[in-house]
Amino acid sequence: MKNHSKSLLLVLLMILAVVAFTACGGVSDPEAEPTAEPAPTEAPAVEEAATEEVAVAEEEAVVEEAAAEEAAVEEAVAETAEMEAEAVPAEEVAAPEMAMADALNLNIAAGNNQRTITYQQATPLELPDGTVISQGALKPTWQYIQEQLGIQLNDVTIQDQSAGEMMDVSAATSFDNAAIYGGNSIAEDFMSYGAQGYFVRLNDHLEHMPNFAAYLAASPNIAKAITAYDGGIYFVPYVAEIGNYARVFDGRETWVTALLDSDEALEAETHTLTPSYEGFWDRNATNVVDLQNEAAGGTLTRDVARDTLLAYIAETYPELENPSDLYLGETAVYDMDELVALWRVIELSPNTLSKVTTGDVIDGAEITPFFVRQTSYREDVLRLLNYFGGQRVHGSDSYAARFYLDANGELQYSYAEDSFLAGVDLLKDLYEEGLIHSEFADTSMTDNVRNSLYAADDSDGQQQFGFMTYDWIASTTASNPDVVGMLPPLTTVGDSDEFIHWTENTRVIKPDGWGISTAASEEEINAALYLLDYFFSDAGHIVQNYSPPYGLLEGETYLAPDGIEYPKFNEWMVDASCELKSCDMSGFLRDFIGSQIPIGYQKEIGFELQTTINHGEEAWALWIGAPVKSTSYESEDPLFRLVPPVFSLTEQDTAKLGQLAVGEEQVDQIFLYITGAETAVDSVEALKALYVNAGIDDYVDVYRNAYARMTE
Amino acid sequence: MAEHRYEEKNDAEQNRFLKYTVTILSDYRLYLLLLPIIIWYGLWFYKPLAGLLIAFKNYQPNLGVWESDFVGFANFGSLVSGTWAPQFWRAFRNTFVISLYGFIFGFPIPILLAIFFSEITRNGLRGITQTFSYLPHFLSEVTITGLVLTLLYNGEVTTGVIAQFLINLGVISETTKIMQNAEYFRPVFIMTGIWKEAGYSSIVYFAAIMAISPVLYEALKVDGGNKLQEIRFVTFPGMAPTLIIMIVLRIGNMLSVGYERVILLYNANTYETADVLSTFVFRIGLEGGNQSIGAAAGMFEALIGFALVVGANFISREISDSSLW
Repeated sequence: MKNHSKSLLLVLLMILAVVAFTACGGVSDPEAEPTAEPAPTEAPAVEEAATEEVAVAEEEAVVEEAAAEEAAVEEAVAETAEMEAEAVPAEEVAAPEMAMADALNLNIAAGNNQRTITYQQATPLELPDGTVISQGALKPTWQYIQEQLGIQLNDVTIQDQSAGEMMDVSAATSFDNAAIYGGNSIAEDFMSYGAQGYFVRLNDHLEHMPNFAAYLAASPNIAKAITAYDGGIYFVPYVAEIGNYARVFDGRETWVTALLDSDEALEAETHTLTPSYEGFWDRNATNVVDLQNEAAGGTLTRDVARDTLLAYIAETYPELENPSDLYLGETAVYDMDELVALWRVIELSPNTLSKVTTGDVIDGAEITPFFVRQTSYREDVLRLLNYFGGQRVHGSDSYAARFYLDANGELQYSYAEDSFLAGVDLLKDLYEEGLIHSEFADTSMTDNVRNSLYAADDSDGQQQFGFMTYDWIASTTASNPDVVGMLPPLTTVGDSDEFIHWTENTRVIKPDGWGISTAASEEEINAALYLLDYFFSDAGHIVQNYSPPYGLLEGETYLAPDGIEYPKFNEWMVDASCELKSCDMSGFLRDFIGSQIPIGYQKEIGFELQTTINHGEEAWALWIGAPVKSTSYESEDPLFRLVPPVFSLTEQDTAKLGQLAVGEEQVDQIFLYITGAETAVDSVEALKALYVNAGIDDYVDVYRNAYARMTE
Repeated sequence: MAEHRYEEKNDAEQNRFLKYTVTILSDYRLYLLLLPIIIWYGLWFYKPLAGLLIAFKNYQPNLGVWESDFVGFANFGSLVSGTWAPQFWRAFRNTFVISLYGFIFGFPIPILLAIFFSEITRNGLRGITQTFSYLPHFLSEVTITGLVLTLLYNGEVTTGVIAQFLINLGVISETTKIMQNAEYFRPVFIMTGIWKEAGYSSIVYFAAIMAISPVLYEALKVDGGNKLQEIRFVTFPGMAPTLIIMIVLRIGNMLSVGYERVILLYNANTYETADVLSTFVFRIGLEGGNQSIGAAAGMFEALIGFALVVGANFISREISDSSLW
């Protein structure tokens, strides 16, 4: 018995020792004690500034730093230009002559386990050659790349981790658990950590990245946008289909024609609304909203709203063949007030429109004139401010991009501007009238509103119908055959008196991408450079944008409406996307095939164009033909110029921002104000005060300085 | 003389040390059993205390706690009277209010339940009743809040059963969105808590009641006491030590409103009444990546919680014989 006790005691002690050892070494808070020294920095200017103690000296250092950074940025751009001269045509996937590791660890997070490089579907995918991809294996595209490059790719990503969290956690161990880190919305981290020496300065290795070097040389604006304040390029960005429209206005064609072009489809209506919104524009002799308001006498009916609108169109636009031409097709010349007037008629016509849509009048039908796909797209309602005098809302294609350049080229934070907040009052009026979907800002509601308002017309008991949205062309027009693209409302922009069709929302450089850790070995870095470059070769470009060759028709291309030929999906791809992802090719590529994951590459529009159905192609043609003016990196007019996807912040900037409370709290308050929530502030002045109290002035200063460093 | 006293003291200390050593060696099995707990506490409760330094630093993950720049009380300044003040004080207020409501409405329910259970004389029936009341405790917060959100949802397309019931009764209008309305958050939160935890929390009180000697009840009956008098003069006094300990513990946790349930139930529309310190810390420190401000808020919460529990213990000791230490 005694011997048993001793043995037991010994075992217990051993277990305790192992537990204690493990916990001390690995399980305890990894952030409590830095385990590795940061890699030697290549940015002495940063170190200098970081050690400054006296404010005056700090200012001097900042000036010197700015000069050094300016020189460095110029040097970086010059380097890429030099590469243009020297760049030899890239030879697809020919392995460079350098010592390379035969395996790489990749940490690519997206906060969504469907969007990593590992296959996470419960349903296995059988490839055309019979290979079965099961849960836990690399997705087909990545298996293909692995074979093509001869490098084993190991996914070490915590599958559900957000990219931002992944970067924070990895920073605590000096990015030593993978050779390549990537994900969405982490470009700022790459710039910041890169300048501190944690990521490989790619400018110094462009000779090993001939395809990427050639790409940067051909796209100096992109090179500039991803260059950190010290002149280094530390990540390869995901560049969306620059030069293409991101989203367009879509609406139901037959609703407009049925209501405006004849009386045949009209049903008796009993709905009324109390006008809150007052006309904004005075470009014509009369304002249709004001006319409706006067005619309403406090309560607007469908007949009054419609009659007023038709009379107004007849008087103001006698040249139009049909009243609906004011809104539909290339003849559209409506402004925001005229659109509101139409929305009112639509809102007041549930009997008519439910019959037009389903063939029967639906008792209790509810019509939503304007909606956004889901509540996470709530900022798209704010985009309507673009059409109230050209107010800028987002400086880049991201809801978080709230900085834009004003006419003087100065960075402005749109959401805190007086003109923006004045526009918020107009949106509040529209919401009060019921013209905007009642739940658009209800962040606890996760339904896909587009599905319920566009794609469920034939469902039993369907009572909800939507008219107009602002969304991606292919998927939106695919959701309902009656949905067509509509030109954006006319507006002036800046000081110009000219009324134009414009959208500030265009495809841009995304704040997503990947970079190489300096903690990796030289062989791993070489292999990583090779991998990153592969996506800018012709072969890699096709694989990442479309699929491995077995998903494409060999020797055939798709001829797009713009005359460009793109690789064409074969029947297997189309069928598989319909079977496994409801014909959502984009989702199928990302979730099943593994292409189009937000790593560093240039996205191409061809995949979307060839999967567009119904009136999708017409929508594209309409916007291109109008044309709709958009923002670009090259624009001479600052008001139409895109800002970089991220700003390269110094450690001092980050420290200063940490003390400021500007963020989502104020944005939430804007939406509470629009929707009239009881806990909302009671005026736009109070909204402004929220920003001021949160330190908006200092916040803007930090970003202005950062932008100046990046561009001067 | 002084030297003699020193030698005596020294000898006494040596004897005491020897005595401890002998005790430990002779009862080494007991101390060995204690060791895992000590290690666990050391690693998970004391070692992380060093991380509190983050509250006094401009923390950067790559530099770690020690190497990040020291900023003194700047983070606390930002919270208390700086740019973060409106959000911080709102969370502070909500934490107290929700805790107070939880205390007022949530604390007595398990006690009443325990009394009810003790009055059920048929063991089978009591067992079934108790088991059903414990069940929600074993469901995760996600499941519970998911049910609550579904039952109370009042949207354009679907309406939850309870929401529809309230609409039919005329308690709320057809357009009222319960979970979007700050006014309703606290009642929903408190009632959800009671539903989930009241049964399970009653166990400790039930055990206290069971420990009361039946002789006392019999004596009261002989004296002509009725059922209510039994509860008043026997049950409550018998439970008093347990009650006081639970009150002290509860007060110590006044600022620790379970953040999981709040996070799962709240949204931007209800921050005004729902955002508590722990969700503020989570949103700012983890989601927003501002770990220093988050740590400062967390430390603030912990210090006040500490003061509350010490204060409650002191008061309890002064007015009764029961206290935690």
